[in-house]
Amino acid sequence: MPKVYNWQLGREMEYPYEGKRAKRQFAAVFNINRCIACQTCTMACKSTWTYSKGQEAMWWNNVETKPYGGYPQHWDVKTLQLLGEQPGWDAGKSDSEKPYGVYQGETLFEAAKTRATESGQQALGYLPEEKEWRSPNFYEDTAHSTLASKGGRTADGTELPEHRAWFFYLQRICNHCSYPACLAACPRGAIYKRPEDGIVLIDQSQCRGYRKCVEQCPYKKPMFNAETRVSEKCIACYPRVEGTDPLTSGDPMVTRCISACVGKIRLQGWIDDPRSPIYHLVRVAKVALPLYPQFGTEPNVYYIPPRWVPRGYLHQMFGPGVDHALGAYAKPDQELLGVLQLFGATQKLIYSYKVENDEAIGYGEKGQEVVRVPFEDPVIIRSNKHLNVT
Amino acid sequence: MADTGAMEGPNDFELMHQIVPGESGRDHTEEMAETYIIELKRMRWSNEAILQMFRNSFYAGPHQVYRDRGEGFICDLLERCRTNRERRTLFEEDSNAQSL
Repeated sequence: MPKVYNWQLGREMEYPYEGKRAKRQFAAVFNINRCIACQTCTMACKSTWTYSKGQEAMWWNNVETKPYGGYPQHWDVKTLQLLGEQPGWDAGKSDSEKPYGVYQGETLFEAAKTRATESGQQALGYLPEEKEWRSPNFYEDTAHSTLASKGGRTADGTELPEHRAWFFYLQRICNHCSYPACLAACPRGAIYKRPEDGIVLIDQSQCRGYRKCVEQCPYKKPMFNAETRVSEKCIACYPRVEGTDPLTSGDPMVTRCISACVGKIRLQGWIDDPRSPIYHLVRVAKVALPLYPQFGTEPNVYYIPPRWVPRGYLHQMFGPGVDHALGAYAKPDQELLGVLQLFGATQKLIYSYKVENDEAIGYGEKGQEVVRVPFEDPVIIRSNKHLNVT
Repeated sequence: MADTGAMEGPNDFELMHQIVPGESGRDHTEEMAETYIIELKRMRWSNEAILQMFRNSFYAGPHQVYRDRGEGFICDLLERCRTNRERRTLFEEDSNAQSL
């Protein structure tokens, strides 16, 4: 099996294909600290791409309540159990090329090879049962800190649970991985990664619905359409990224889920362009981290971790960069504060940015200004005769 | 017929009131309240506006902290949680709203 370099693991790893980077790689950062799970992103995606027959239970974007929620049900716990306990990272070996140190354990690709599974998997995985896809957020907000009585009812009778314990919302789309497990798994070669932007797509004319991608993507983002008998997945709203949406007269736009976000928790850009605000968040300030980097697919959606959650849980989910990320986010410098202002500031795709004179300025593909956000803008309070926030 | 509470079969949707283990030595409630405060301060909310939100029972999460720990706890946190860019909040009457 060829060797490829995975910077999130700080080492080379085995992958079924030769490593070939896209010209630039689609990426996004989601700030978990600000998400209220309103599911506007989920519905924006649903009403744009998955409203047809056969797509009823298909949610390319979903927001789930952690630690118990998941779509499909228990997707991450099941994959972690398959992989088993792993040695973790050697953080002492970190540098600019290996920001989290060196991963000592097995990836899903390596585990599939060493365990010689009968199914001939390229990446260790499982096929969820149909019932596990029933809801985009199983167990929403059911975290509780008191013991359940028999039947799941408390002594309080019908009283609804109150949120006395920690939990948080995890926003999920396809990670458009640099080393996609779905692509590795497909026996038809129907899945490909676009060289111009790294977006991972399924060629519908090549797919025969074997569901190997559904089985082996650890994030469970390819989904089977029982009506068309082929698999489908998030397409990163590529017509918008290409700038073919008439709304912006040719300027590339961010995805529907990102532009619709009410809480302005999402930002889209390029992970490998040092001018991109995404690059700053992930590689310079290091406040945004990949989801389960130990799986080995080099996912390209990054998360600013929640501040109130037990560190052990966060380390498992986001790797060893958690402590630094939380510290940097709590005390942002001027540049990071500026980049944070750009979240949700425009529908246009920001290619580069500048922070100066208490303003964050975003620039488009051709270097034109697409947004300017002052650090200090007025807060407008409506008069008392109207309903106010406070 | 009396409700015995028994289900006819296993219900996959039923997972209620589970214990979510915290971390010893850490006050997750305080950290959650801190996060509310810091995020809102970065959005240029004033201390008074944030306190009003904690007082308001509509906002279940913040109000739970207010009920459990009291107003003094919130006021202390508001003083302690300073962002590195404390800004003056500008209050302006929304003239459009007046005409609605």
